[in-house]
This record gives sequence, C-alpha cells and structure tokens, in this order.
Amino acid sequence: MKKIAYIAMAAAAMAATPAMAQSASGSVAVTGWVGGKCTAQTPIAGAIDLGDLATSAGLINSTFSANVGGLSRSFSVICTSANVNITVSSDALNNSTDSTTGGGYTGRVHYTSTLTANKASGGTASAVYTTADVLPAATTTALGGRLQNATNNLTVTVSNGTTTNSGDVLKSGNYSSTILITVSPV
Amino acid sequence: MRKLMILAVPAMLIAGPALAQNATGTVIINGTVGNKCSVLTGSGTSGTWGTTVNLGELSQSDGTLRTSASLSNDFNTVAAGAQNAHVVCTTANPTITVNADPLVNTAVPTVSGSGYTNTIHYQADVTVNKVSSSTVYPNDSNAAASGPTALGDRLAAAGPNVIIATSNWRTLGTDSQLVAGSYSGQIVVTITP
Repeated sequence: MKKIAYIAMAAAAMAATPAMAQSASGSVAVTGWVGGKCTAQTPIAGAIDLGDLATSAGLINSTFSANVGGLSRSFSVICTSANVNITVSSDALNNSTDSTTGGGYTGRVHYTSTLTANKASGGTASAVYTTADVLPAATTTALGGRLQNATNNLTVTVSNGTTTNSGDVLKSGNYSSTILITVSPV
Repeated sequence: MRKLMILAVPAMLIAGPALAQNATGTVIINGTVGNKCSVLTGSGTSGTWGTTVNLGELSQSDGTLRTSASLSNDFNTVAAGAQNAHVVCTTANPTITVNADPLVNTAVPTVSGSGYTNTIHYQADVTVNKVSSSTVYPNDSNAAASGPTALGDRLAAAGPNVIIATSNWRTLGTDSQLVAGSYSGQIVVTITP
C-alpha cells in the first residue's frame, strides 16, 4: 500500500494534471463442502430375545413365537447423500456350548434378517440376509434416493428360523447371534 | 493480488472434501432351548404314551402259567408296536427309570406256600436306541424300580427309540397254581431330560 501511494504521488507531481480515479478491487472466494455422511441419532444397538427356540417336539419354532418384546427394532439415522446403501449381515444363532450338527441334533439355528429403510420419496427399500453354515457375504441394497428424514426410519426384523437339516432336534442351552448393520452414503 | 492468493489458500484447506461417514451398529439376538423330553405321536407331541396289552388266558390247562416264551411273544404281538415310543429330548444325557409291577389278581388273595398264587412276575426289557448305540434297561417286577439311570448319550433321532419287551415270566417258588380271575400290572418308563 505504501508503494502504491508513492508512485501515485510522483506521477501527480510530474504530470500536474488530475488523475483518473483508480480503485483497487479483489475478491475472496468462499466455498464449502458437505461430505457424504450418515449418522445414527442414537446408537444402532439393541437386543432381541427370541425366548425358547424349540417346539415341544424339540424342533425349531420357525416363527420365533416365544419371543419376548417383538422381533423388530427401529433406529433413527440421517444421511446427507442423495443415495444411501444399507447393509446387513449376521452369524447364525449358535449354542454357547455345542453348536455342532449331527445324529439328528443341532446346536445351530439359521434365520433371516431384513433391514428396511424408509425413503424420503415414500416407500421402502430392504436388504435381506439369511445365515447358512457357510455364511454368505453381507447383503447391500441401494435406496435409490434419500433416506427419510424422520425418526425410526430404519428397522431390522428377524424371521424364519430353520435348522441345517429339517427335522433336527435342537440341543438345549443358550443361543446367541449378532446382526451387523451399516448405513453408508453413496 | 498476492494477498488474494494468500487468502484463497486457507479457504481451500477448510473446504476440502470430507471422508464418507457411515452409521453402523449391532443388534444382539438371544434365545434358549429348554431341557425337555416329549413323545412324538405322529400328529403332535405328548408328555406320555401308553397302551393296554391283553394277554388273554395266562394259564395252561394244568393251571400253571404259560411259558415265558409264549407270553413274551404274545406281549409283542398283541401290543403291535403300541408299547413303543418315539421320544425326543433336547438334552445330551437324559435319564431313564423303569418300573415293572407284577400282574396281580387283587380280588383273590393267596397265601404264600399254599401252592396257589395271584401274582405273576416278569422282567420288563426297555431297549433305548441312542445316537451311538442301543442299551437294554431291565427291571424285574419282583424288584424295586431301576434308575434313574443316565443314558450317556442323546436319544436316537429316529423312532421308535424306546422299545418295550418282556421276558422271564414266572410264578414264585412252589406257588405255581394260578387262581382264576383277572390279572393286571403295568410297566412305567420315565425319561427325564
């Protein structure tokens, strides 16, 4: 600024004529970014108690009708992206002491996890995962739109209990499994 | 111009693209299978099974008991499989108790040593098919109940896996003459998870 003033004064003295007004101008570019992100409003966590898995005949109760507290859990997730992937996977329900299968008995129960997301445009999209002795890869489904901006917009439901061999008697004991849920921006 | 460029550089640093951020979580699934034993009936399950085996005339023409082989054979023939059961248990090592009661003609008391008797003894032979083997669990009607005895294995999944037969039909001592009338007894098998 000092240099500009000095030059201007010298020129004015030499020419002794009125100078044209000269402005100094500039601009500041301001940009921002909103990353693709999905955030759970409350932790995606919970437990589902299926109760007694066996019928009186010792076979799998495929409807899990002895459950305590229902077979679904809902969560609230927000995403900034125009499209969202929902992914679900799990392991089988394994007997904590003996999960083997043989001799007409089994310590393993397979089931289906259905992860359903509500879309902002209406309707839903679901990712469905069913366990097997050799676990398949996780199931991912794209919503094809934005996630609904509302509470409880994501629901996981378990269903359809089966055993590896139909007719196998379940081994007594405690069984447990974990469902993994991921909501990703696209 | 130099100043403008200096200002622009920090602006670009702040506005850089962010990494994608996922929302993840887990849901724990729990369940149990209780200790239970049930009888498969074909149309469902039951806690019990049973039948009545009418052996008909028990004595020979001389009034003594028919042969053990004859009665054992008739027991199987008359029962026609209804005495057997398909039992399933969820536990690894169920127990079995066998209690055979003699056939008694309660309407006609007899005195020991008189040569007459109103009591017929036998042995119940309960064969249990297990996953790895089969074992016979006997109980004589002249003895206390046998068991509870651990099977040491799971019951075979296929049925019938509890098979009841009889042997050693007899009267005791010299009291071999059966008194006329109706005789009844029972075999009780209990399988506990």
